[in-house]
Amino acid sequence: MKEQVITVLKKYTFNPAVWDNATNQSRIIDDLKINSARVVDISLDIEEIFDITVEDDELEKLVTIQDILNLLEKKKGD
Amino acid sequence: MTDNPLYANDIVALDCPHNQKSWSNHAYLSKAFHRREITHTQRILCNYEAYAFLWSAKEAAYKLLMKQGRRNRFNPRDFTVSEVSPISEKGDYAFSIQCGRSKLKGFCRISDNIAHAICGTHQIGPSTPYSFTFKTGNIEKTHEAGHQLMLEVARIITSEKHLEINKTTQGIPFLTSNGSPLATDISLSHDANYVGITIAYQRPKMN
Repeated sequence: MKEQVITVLKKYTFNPAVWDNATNQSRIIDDLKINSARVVDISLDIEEIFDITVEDDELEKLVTIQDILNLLEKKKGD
Repeated sequence: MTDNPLYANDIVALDCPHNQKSWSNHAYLSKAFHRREITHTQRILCNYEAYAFLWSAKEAAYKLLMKQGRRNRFNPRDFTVSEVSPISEKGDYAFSIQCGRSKLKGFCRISDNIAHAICGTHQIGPSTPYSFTFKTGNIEKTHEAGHQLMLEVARIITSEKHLEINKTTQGIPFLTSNGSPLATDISLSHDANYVGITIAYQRPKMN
């Protein structure tokens, strides 16, 4: 699951060097330097890959890689 | 709360393939924008310009509210753009934007490749605050270039030599000189290989 999430995120990073020290706590916008407009794309990609729906209020909680993994675990467990 | 003017800017690249792909996706548009603000904006601006304008307006408004103490995460649908009107023939537009009970005024310049929006607590116009946009040569270094450009501009405007850009725990940038925070307000934005900055110089208070 994490590999699939990383693959999605990598589509939207311009500088590969941001991945050198990336951890689950890396922030999508501040650390991976992904434009905020891409968070919507990331949620759409995740919806498609994992067959889930990301609600409006869940979108704004996707700050770190771990937040995405937590959301997926929650959705898959529902 | 400070009485000093606060501004926030956001830049969106019209020629960025990621953006164009998003703007062609109905699911994206419905997650990012309200139908009525799209209809309202498209009276004046064509599709891509309208979407770039709307996103930059929302993000600039969000950054300004963060400076004023808001701590919610950014959700584009929390913001509704209205009252969009052209104010010059150079692609300058004024707008209003509502988020909850907060209603802000903004300014956006649309040029060939970018939409650059500014929201502020004080008057905004083509030269208030100082605002600049740049295209960097290396997309991988856009953030670094933006940082350096901001410092250079700030050194010229403030005449301070030992400037640094720091960030609050909320990620809001501010200037320090020899380690002391300056009242001069700054805002930085990046998209693809474009950088947008604003700087509102505040003369130091005399003791």
